[in-house]
Amino acid sequence: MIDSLPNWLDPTPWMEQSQSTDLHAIKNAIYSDNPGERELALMLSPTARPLLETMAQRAQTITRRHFGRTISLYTPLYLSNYCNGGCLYCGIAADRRAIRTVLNIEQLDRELDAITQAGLDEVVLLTGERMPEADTSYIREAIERASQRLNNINIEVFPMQQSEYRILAEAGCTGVTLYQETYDPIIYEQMHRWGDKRDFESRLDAPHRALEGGLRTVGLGVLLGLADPSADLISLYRHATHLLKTYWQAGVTLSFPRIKPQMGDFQALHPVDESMLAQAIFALRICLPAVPLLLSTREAEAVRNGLAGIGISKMSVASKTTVGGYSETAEESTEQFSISDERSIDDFCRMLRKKGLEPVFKNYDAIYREPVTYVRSS
Amino acid sequence: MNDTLTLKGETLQSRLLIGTGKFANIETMIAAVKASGTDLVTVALRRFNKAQAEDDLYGPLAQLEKVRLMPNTSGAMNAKEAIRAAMLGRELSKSRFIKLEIHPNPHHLLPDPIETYEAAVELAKQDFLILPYIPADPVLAKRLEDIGCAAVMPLGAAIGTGKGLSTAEMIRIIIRDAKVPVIVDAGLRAPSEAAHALEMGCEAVLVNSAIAAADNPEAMAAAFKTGVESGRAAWKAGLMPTSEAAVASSPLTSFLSRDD
Amino acid sequence: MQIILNGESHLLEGDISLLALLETLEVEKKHTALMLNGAVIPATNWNEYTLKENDEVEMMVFVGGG
Repeated sequence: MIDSLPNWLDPTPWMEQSQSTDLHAIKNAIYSDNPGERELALMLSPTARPLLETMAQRAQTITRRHFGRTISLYTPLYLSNYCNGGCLYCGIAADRRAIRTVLNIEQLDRELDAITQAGLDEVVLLTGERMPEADTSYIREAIERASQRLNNINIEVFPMQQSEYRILAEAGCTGVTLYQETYDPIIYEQMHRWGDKRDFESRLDAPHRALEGGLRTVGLGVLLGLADPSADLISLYRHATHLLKTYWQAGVTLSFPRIKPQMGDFQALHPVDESMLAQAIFALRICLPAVPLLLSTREAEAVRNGLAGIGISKMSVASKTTVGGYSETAEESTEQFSISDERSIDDFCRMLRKKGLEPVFKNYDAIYREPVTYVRSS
Repeated sequence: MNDTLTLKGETLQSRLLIGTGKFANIETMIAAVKASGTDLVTVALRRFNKAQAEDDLYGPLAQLEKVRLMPNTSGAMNAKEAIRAAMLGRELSKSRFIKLEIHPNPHHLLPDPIETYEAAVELAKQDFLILPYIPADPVLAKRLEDIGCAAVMPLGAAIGTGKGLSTAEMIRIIIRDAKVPVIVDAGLRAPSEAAHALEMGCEAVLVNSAIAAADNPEAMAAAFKTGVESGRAAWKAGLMPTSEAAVASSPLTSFLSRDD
Repeated sequence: MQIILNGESHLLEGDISLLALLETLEVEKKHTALMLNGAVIPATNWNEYTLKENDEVEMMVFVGGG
């Protein structure tokens, strides 16, 4: 365990600005031609709330400039909900009463077929913590099967060693999503009661290992609600820019998972409402013009409709958070979190088109799929 | 507050680097160097010619206190020649600084990115402190950073053209992505352009022609000193944003005030 | 004996070292870097090398340049 963050992640120098009441300074931050930590902190201030519309306009302009009028689509595929993890906030933590399942190969193929038939080309394969039921070789098998059908295969699984990432890259894996959950080491320790995930530093280092192991993209995020959102979002921004500068050929994406007040029995210590979520997304879009920002189906229809193209450039669609949820052939299993937006792909695309946004199913072609090696520069 | 420029552990007080070519005579050059407040000047290497022994800058420059010499590789047409020039330069300067410049075309003196990269790889192994003069190419800048260059020096415009920061947008990207200092080298004409470079976040500028070819080089050097200091101060002070059009008519955030 | 000095032929009498060559030319040694047949020779080694027929010597100094 560590008591304090390394310098390159520390949000402390900007925390005062995140409480700024200087409306003029916040306006300047929104229109800064060189936004950094300072501007991000100012835009996250509660005082910025009346300027949310201004931030939205600016975020939309920037999103259009870099992504055009398009939204990339992907879908999550839960491989297994076996987990020995002790995450206090999670529906499939080891001490939760959960129906545990892992997809067998036939079920996996059926799920992938269902996803392929729906027209999707990008999938995120998910498991819990490292378990015998869903270990690296199982995940490799799943990636191989997915890569026979789809071009973009991400994993959202337990942190691995570089050699394991290399094996997955060679099997066709293109990216890894690995949320730090929170950058507050104290809260991190409280939230993760046992198991491998207690190792904050190893988790923090995993994106480096993944990129050096041959993956192309890393997805970062904090679970909004666990800690002071301003502090976590500034650290998230610093984490992203650090990786972008170090592995400058790699892709970095950000996601915005959130503990919703009405969800489950875990109460957010620092509740983040929809407006704060929007504020976070707009602020990060303004500070990171070219980084894909993702929004999942955890959010309500209206919020997803509202944020599509306004900061958000990539969205999950028609998600099933149960194992075997797509083909409905596996036995019942417990979901990790609940879905709010249950629209079909067709319905969702109709909404996007009505907003003048073109849904993009494919934005990468496996013809280029050769594991790349990024080197940690000095 | 002490706002120094650090290049791989070497500290510079001034953010104005001076080239010593194209001056009418050594006295003018020395006066300009003094007036500029610089502590790093770049010098070229040439064959010794007894008939023009007065061209030897070593003596005059050695008398300037606190001014360090950075040999450059001008005249080198490829990586091999540049490496040789760098080794010779280090013999004389007794310092690790090398301005790596390889411009095979004498008409425009634009840098050869491939030879420059290859030379930098070798010089980095030999522990040089490399400042490469490069096209304003963000990818090349990162590649040079990755192999250990102390800074990158994208051109504002072609050497001696005085076209200013023609490459400003590319330099902006280089600055955003770089972990090492970005120094604009070549193309500047006016102190306001040097100020502009520092306002954008460049860590320093290297100026030669604009000073040497001015009517009064000494006075122009002083003007560049002020320009650089002013631009740096503005960068630190934080420029106000340029204004954008007023907020559009249809609100984007109405979804946040709905009743579910 | 003939050597090539800065691209031109130059006659020498007897065996002399690089150091002695610089001294006979009355060159400021501290201001000069030497290349012998394409290789840079550090000043500390000048006295150790005795010039041979057709050696190519380059004497380099700092001049103005940007």
